[in-house]
Amino acid sequence: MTTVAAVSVESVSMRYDVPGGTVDVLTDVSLAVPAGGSVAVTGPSGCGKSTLLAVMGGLDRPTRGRVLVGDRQISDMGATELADLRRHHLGLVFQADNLLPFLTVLENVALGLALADPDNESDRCRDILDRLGLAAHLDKLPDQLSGGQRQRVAVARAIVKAPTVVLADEPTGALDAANSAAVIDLLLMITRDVDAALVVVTHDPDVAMRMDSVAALRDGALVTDEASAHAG
Amino acid sequence: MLASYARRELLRNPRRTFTSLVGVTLGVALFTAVLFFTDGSSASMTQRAVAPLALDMQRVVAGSQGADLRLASAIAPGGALAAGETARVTLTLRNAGAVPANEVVVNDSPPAPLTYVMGSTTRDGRPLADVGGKIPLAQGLAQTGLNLGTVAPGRTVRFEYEARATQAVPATGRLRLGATVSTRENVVPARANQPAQLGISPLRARIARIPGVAAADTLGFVDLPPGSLSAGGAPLDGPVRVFAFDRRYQQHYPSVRLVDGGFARGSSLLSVEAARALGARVGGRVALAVPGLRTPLALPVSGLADLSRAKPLFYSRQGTKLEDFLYVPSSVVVDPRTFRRSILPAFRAATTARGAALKSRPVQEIDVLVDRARLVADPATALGQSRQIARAVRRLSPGQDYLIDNLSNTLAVASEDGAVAKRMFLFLGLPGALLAAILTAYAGGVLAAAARREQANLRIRGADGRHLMRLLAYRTVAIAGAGSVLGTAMGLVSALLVLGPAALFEASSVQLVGSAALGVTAGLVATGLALYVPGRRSLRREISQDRGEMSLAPAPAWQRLHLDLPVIVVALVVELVALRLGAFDSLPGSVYLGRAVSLPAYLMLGPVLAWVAGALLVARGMRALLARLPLPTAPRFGSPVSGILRRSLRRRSWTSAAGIVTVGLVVAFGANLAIFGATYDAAKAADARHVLGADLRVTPSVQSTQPHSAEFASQLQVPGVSSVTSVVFGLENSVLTGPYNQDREDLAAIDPRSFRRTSSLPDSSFVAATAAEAMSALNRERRGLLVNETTADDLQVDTGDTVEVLFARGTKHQSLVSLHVVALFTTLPGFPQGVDLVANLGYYQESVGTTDVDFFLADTDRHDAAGHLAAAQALQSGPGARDALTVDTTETALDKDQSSLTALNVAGLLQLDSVYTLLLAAAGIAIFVFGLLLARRREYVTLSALGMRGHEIQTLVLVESALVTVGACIAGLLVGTGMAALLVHVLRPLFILDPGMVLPVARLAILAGLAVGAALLSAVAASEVLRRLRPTELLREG
Repeated sequence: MTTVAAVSVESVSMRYDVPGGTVDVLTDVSLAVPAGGSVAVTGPSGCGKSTLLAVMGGLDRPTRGRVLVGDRQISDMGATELADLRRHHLGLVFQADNLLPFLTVLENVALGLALADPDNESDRCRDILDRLGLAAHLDKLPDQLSGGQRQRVAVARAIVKAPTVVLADEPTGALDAANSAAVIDLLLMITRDVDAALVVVTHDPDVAMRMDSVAALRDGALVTDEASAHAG
Repeated sequence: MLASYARRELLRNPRRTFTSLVGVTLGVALFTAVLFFTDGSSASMTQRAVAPLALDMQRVVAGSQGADLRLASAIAPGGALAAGETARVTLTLRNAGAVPANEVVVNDSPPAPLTYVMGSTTRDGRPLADVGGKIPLAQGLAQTGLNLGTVAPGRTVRFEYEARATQAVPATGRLRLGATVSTRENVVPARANQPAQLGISPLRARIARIPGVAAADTLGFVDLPPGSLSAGGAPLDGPVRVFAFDRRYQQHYPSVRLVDGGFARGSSLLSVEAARALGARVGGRVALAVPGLRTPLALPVSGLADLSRAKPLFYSRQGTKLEDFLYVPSSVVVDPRTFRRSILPAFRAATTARGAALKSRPVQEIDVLVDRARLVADPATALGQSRQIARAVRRLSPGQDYLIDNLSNTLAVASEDGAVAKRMFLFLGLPGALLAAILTAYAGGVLAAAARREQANLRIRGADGRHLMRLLAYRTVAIAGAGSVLGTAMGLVSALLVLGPAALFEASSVQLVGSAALGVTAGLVATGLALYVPGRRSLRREISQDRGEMSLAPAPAWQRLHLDLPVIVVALVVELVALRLGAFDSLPGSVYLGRAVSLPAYLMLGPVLAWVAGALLVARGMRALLARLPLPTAPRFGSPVSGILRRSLRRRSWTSAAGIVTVGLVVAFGANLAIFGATYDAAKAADARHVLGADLRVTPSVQSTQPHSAEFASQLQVPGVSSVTSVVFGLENSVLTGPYNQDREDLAAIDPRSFRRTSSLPDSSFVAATAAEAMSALNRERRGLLVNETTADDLQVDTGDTVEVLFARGTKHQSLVSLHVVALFTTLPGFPQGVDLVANLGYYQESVGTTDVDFFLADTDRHDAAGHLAAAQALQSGPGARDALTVDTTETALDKDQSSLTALNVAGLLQLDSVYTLLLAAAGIAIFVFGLLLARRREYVTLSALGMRGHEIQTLVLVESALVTVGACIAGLLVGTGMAALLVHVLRPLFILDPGMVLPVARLAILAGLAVGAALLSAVAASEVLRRLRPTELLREG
């Protein structure tokens, strides 16, 4: 019996119109990540890593090919359906923490949960922040935290709703080695806890090595795909 | 290279460039439009000021009698005098005329440094005793001259006296000899050694040749007692005025209207009223009895004239009553030759007898019509021109006459009013310029935050602080320069549209270029600073300190420094000081009284300060409310939209407050303009109604042959007219006798019930009584009398007193009655020249035995210009078709008021201001909404990435924009109302009646509606921009 991947892309191509012509950002990329699995997407700058992640998160639409979250094809979904998908099933983490500056640490995380389940009044947010070592900072605004602490809050916000897929774009890009390792530990630990698929875009070989597999992109095409072999 | 980069950057970011340009352009456009408007308006003030002037200049020739009395003064020796030496002064007085000169007074004293040698005066060789130890020709402290009594024709009187030099005199011939002579006929002292006076005809001819004089015409007139004019042996009741002028005069002053026949040598014109009373016709004859003539003058009648509106003939020549139209219905116009050859000599003969004093003596004058087309448009410059003409007129044959320079007096007031108008106009435009700077600074602040990332990129690529500063400078100069030039062009077009090319280009090109230069410079400086300062502040922050877009903005400087509170205190202090100094109590301006409007510039400061401080204060209050918005207890977040909104508004309340302040200032200014405009219009209309007495005034023409009794009023009840009242009124038509004194008074007789119904009578018109009480008392007591407060003071009369009043003074109907004073009043509508007494019409008519009234006041169904016009047309086509009627409306009354400051095109300026206010409000809201979008776009895409739906994000933008707009409208309406209240108070001297503030609900609703509409449109547009954002790149940026 074939296991359904938590997230998969099938023959996805992405082309942008630019002044004077077109640019192929992704060319016939296929990738699948099982639930509880993790994959690192690596490659030089401008090779299409972030675009691939945006396509998987429904933030961009591929020019060609299919993107599936579980068994739902998202490339044909409308904006509202995509928003609902992200709200319930996807957790996104970026290089910049993108925390809302007027919300406290607890509220930033609670927002992630409120979007998925407005009536949820459980202590889940506190628990996660406690696990992430932020229990003493619940009522602080993001401006009052260090870079590493902010990124940990961003991770908490992404996973608080127990998504099926976590997409992280250079989550440690702005962090020092210690904070970087801590954030990756957390991501791996929590995604495994909730049995979510983790896709991490990274330049950092150490981060890539921590994942189950590595997908290397060059000029928009996949040159290695250990993940699909692993999953298949 | 940097300049080129700045240019490319501006072109590459069209939205950002446009946002910056909008504020600069609109602000500079408003400011320069006001400057151009001021140039155009004040330029046209000359024509407006002189339009109602009946006579430009009058040279009154007082020497029409005894003009041949000459005084010569000489001193000998004519050379040098050493100190202590004496000289002999000789005065020779000769009456070279044909009639005696009476009460001849010669006045003289030695010129300094000469002193009188005691006892040295002789008269015709005989010693003349000193008086009080002084020269007899300058007696006592008042230096009164010597009264010679009557000097017969052909007689010479010679005086001599000695004077000693108290110090050396180089040449006695250069000393200014100050001898004068005056007579009973010519009370103005004439100086010795005057050149021989020109006759009136040569003088007129020489005045007519003065550059700038369009025409000079002689006018003679004299008042004769009742019975002086007769036809077929039947004399005319009532006094008669005799005029002497020719056909040219009538052509130059068309208010003298010929209705039958024409001028003919040796003939006369009769006024329509005199002809009717005498039953005289063209081709007939009348007889004029003149004092000094044994037999009346027999005058053929060659024409009939309607003189009832001939202001040049009937305006008072008395300095204190120049505005009074003292109409004499029975008038006759004679040939100037007849006046000079028959009437003047007869009057001279009549005054020959010692002690004979005529109540009225003939006056001859030369009426000068200035070429008004040559007057420069600016009143101040035109004043210089008119004064130059007046000097030239005075220089011709100076002596026993004087010049009444109405034109210069009018232009002097217009010039001062023009300066006030400029202050007022600038005040109304200044907030616009301030708004532009505020809006530009606001846009600059928003854009500076957005540009920080680009600056950071440039730093990374090697640009240092100086490069970035230069870039900022280039960008600022480009935007401020382009915006100022564009704004100036837009301002010119706006002023052109409102004023029209004819009025605008009345202003000199120097004025217009000056205004353009001022506009561009002020725009460059104000908006340049507003753009540069926030940009520079942003640049000075180190990149490491830059917290980027996702950070909370600090409270604005004005809040941190608590600037709003001291500004409000200053505004209050200014108002209190002004109140204590009585600055709000100055009298209304009047051209005829030579009084300009008093409007000190500092008074304008109050409303401006109140505007700024009020907006800041209200914004502070609203921020405090937002900061107390309730939040759900953690860990409950609430619904995502509501939870985000509440927390955002609560914790970023200063962002909303800044938007409320900016947009609120615009709305406040707009509300102020709307309220001020409505109040101004209402006050102006109320003033016009007060002057006219009601919506319409119907005056029967003098040519009408129908009787106009109070019953005629029923014929005036045409469609559109709701009520009519009859009024009897005349200047000095009564005599009031108080307990100790009596005086001639202007009396009106009214029907109290219909007068109250037709005319708006404010309670403030009466002393210690309401309008209803006063009218009710006059209606109840047929022998009741209302007395003007000043008249009552003068004659020591009070409410409750019984006084004697002579009705219809000087006519055969005059009647002495006892009346009871029922109330005192200050001013009454319908009598712009004032009224002293008001009696009950029924009792008046019963007493004098006539039923004729002088005019009718009518109230219309609709109290607007169209309603007035429709009723006036109905009157003209109805009773006016059967009878000659003059119908004045409040609109035509306003036209006549052109010389006052209220006649200025304030409505045009307010229109201009209002359009720009709406544009600025829309721009302010758009900048707020797009600024919000620019500052929060990463928040919005983050929320999108977290799964927030598009319409939920749009709701966030919409609700915050709506909240700011509603807050700004509330703040703006509150502050604008307060500002307008102050402004109306400040401009009180412009109006006759105290202007009550009018709230134009519809206009305010439109203003608020447009602001809300602009907010909705901007929010929808912003949502569309948001939808097109590419989240991937934004989310990756740090």
